Amino acid sequence: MCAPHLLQFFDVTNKRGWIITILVLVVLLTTAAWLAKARSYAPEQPIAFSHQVHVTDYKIDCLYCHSYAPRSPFAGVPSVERCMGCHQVVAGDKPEVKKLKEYWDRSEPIPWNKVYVLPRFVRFNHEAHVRAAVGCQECHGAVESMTKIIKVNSLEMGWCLDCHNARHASVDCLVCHY
Amino acid sequence: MDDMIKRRDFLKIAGASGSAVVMEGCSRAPVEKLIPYLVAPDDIVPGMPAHYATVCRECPAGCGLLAKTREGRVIKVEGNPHNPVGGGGLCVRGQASLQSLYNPDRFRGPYARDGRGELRPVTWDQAETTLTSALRRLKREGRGSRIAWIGSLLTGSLERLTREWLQALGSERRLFYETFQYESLRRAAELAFGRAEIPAYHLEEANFLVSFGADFLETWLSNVELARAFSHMRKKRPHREPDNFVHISPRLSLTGSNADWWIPITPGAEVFLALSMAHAMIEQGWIAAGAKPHLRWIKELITPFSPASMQEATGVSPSTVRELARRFYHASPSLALGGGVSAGGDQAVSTELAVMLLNVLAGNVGKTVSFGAQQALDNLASYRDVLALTEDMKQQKIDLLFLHHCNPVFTLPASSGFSEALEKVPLVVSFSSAPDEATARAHLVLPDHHFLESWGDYTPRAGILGFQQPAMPPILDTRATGELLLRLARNIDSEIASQFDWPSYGNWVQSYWNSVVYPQLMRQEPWEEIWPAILKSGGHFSSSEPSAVSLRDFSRDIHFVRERLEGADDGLALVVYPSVHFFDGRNANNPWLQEIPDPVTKIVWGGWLELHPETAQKLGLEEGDVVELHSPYGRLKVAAHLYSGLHRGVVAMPLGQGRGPAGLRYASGRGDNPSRLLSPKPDPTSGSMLWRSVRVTLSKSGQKQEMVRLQVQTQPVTPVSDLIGLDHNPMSEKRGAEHRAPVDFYPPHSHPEHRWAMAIDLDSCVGCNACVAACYAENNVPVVGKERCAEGREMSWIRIEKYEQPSQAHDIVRPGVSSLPMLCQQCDQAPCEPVCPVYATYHNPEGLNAQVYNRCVGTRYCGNNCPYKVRRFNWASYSFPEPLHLQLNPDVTVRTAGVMEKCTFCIQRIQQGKNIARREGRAVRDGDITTACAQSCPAEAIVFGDLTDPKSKVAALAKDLRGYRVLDLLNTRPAVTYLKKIVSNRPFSET
Repeated sequence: MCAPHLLQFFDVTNKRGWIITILVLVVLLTTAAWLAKARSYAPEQPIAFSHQVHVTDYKIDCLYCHSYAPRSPFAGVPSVERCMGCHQVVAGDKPEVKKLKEYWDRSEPIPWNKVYVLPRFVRFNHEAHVRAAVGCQECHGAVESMTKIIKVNSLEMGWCLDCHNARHASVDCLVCHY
Repeated sequence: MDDMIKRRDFLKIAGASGSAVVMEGCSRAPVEKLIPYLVAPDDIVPGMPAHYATVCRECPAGCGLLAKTREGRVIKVEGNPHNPVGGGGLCVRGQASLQSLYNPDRFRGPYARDGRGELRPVTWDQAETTLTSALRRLKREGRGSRIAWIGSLLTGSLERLTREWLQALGSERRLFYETFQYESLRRAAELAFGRAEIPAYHLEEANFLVSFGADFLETWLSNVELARAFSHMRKKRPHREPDNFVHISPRLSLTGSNADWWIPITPGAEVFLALSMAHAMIEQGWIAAGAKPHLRWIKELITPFSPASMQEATGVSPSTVRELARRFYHASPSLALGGGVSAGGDQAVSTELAVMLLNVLAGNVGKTVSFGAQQALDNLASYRDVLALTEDMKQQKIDLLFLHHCNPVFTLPASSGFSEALEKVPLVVSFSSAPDEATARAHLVLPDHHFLESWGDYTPRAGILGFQQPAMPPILDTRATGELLLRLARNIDSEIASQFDWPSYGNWVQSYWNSVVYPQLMRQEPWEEIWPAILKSGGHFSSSEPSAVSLRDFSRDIHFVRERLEGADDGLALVVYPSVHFFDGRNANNPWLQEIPDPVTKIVWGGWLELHPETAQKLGLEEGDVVELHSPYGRLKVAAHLYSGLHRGVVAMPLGQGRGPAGLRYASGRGDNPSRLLSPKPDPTSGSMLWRSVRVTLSKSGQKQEMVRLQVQTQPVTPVSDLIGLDHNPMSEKRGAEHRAPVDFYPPHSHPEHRWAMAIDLDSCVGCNACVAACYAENNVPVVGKERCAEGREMSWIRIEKYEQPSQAHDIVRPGVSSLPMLCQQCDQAPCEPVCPVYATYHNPEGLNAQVYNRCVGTRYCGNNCPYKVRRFNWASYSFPEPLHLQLNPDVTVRTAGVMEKCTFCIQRIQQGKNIARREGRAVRDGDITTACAQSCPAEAIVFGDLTDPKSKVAALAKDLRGYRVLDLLNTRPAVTYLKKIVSNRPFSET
């Protein structure tokens, strides 16, 4: 006879029941929302850039645009000039490419929304990971099939450590935190 | 009652919705923008530093400098190892030049005085129009000769531009004015050798050094270069007879603190001591061959100055003088240096002459003193020239005055009347970058770029052609003065425009180098090949041949008399001295320099008057009592600080504090300016300013002012107390009765790859604070202000601890001062580690005592358990007022309130060094990685490296006979080895 006992906490006919019901619902919903969002953060971007088109269809190498990755902590996003390098001549009639051209004509960089954000106390180095032959996809997912960038990994420390442990990479705190 | 929500229920709902908000807050990654370059610059790789070689222009020394930039912002400056001036080291001011670049009080654009006499922001066009029409009118009316320029020392391209530009307008009146001049030295060289020039001094060649008040480790001539040479001189001295530096001055300066012996001489008697030394040398026949032909007149000249007859004047016993003379002669080559600012009385030329005589007698000329260096400082205008200009200004003979990076209102004696004379000039134009006492009276303020934003060059002496390139674009709406002059020239009239037809100042500089400098280099290679190398190494450096000189008979040109001081007979002589932090006051608005303790007094954020404790007792004064000082020329109030490193007949006051203009957020309202007390008269012999010219009387004001002093110990702590010479065996001492075999509770750490360690040679450390400023810059260490410093909450990760061993009053004493840079010792058995409840601090596999800010919850247990007191707790989130925040090192987390922090041997530099080694597919080499403190040290006292590499320098030093670890008895096993200072315990008379 435990179920009726439990249920009576959620008896919405009295005020106490209302409060408990609201409380539990709020906790459940926010947890669910949080979990969902953490896994699939995919903000709208000023230009609907498709990695699928560029990588899968046109076979452009990741490093062609993210050229700093093998030599700097930052992978970098391509300069507007680099985008225009192709799009001066390619697909100029497409609406999203027109947007790009407008930015270029206004001499304005594109204000991309950052998808992979690390806290300020973390020092991540792309160069070291490229050198260790960690593929881009291992952290960023199957970008080549994404039409819009989705955050596929939590970037939490446990997730980092799983991989570091598996590859016998250093798990010393000072590797990332200083 | 039932329908109403009870208080308790309300709280429950509130709590639940609150937690929901918190959860919601966590769930959303903050929207951050990812802004690409429009056009990616070639020379910037985001995340990687780029270095630009240039020249430090904080003072006329002109040390080589490497500016480290990230994403187009300078974040750190380091010495340029290619440039012989500095040779890779920098001083505290050079390190802190970043804060003059990013100073929040810098002018953000041009200003002009409006009808009501207030400075208002204007556009560059407006400012240029105003100035152009004034220049055009003056030229048209043929009054170009009524234009005058007074500014900091220039050489090379800007020297030429300003000269030709002023000449084109009809003006020949250009004075290079620096607060610290060497007129007496030049005049003495002229009298003695017929060459009015500043000699070059080669301390590194000397075996024995006597300084008559030359503070060469602080501001005298070229402090970084001389500190380096001094450390070389000290390193090669024989350990059995380590005493080789005697300092003679009424005040024990930082330089004096590093001497083996100090003669606290009666002010003004320096010349008599030098002469009696010469007397003793001649009497004993200690004369170098080169001096023998001159012996007749020299003998005649010095006959009246026997050590015995001079004893009353100098306070030094004949036996001490003889011993000093003996050592000076027998250590050949030795070196005697003449006085600096603190010895700048009306007998300064006599003192310099007597010092030159000593160098001649000991045969040092051509060995440790040489001529023909062509020092840039030779081109300075004398104080007398400045007074002449002041007089012309008063007489309204000057219609337009340019002030270029100088602040005569503050640095000249108030009684010189420069400030009042400025009021008589119809148009005063200042190029100053920040408000100062002169811009407060200027009609137009046309702020110049900072030197790190500018093209330019600087040649401190022949052969050292330093090149300046902008390390970053200007952050404020400023305009390079050279650029401005070219722009003005274009608009004054067509004649001038055709003469200065250069598209930009950068072009002017480059073409100057191509057309003027290149032919002088006598190089075979075409200019196009040399040019990139010049940009890369920060200039072109060669050594110049010294010129041979011969002594002249100057006995008829000079009379050696006592120094005259004005003021009450019962007053105390006022010694004014420049500090290594503030120079002449130009660096006073720099928060690092205010917060880092003065190297001698260890006072922060304030000005003071130094009094001998006995004098203070007589006058009934205590530390912090505000004293009123009266001189014949002025009065001021300042807080008293008791300092035993003084002759009993003097009081001493540093220059630099007491900056006037409102709006200097770090400098205003601190201390006072001693030049307000000084005589306006120039020295009749040399025309230089008389820094030591007055006696002052003191009266107690009844007020008290808090003096915040950090890091002073008068009772030396353990191993520092056995400051010994190597005639004792320190190893046997260390392994003595006190030593116990270590017993460990925890298992030993293993360090499979590296064990980072440091060795600090206390015998080389001069206590100059350069390392401290370097650490502030490298590690984003915040400035907390005077109040928090008073609470002991300063944040510096490295500090110079000063230990004083008071000595008995005598005619010659051991200063008994030692400096010990204290930083996290990275203990192998660290007391801080086991007490951290959250594992925020731990021993890492490379021997570092790690501090993980994001784990730290701020219990402060670690800080309490640290015997070295090197952990700093963030009691607040400290701010970096815009644009100071642009200086922050992006490789280091900016810590917030509630977090403990400390030195980790510049872990970001270690990681970077390892990364570069891996990129190149090799192991880390000794010397690849160095910490910011070690990098900046002018004396090369700090060595960083890997203990597991047996060939590394640090591994060798860790086993040095002089090595010890601080508080070894606690068995903390620090990774920092200190090498004991070498001090002989023999009295001066026996050796």
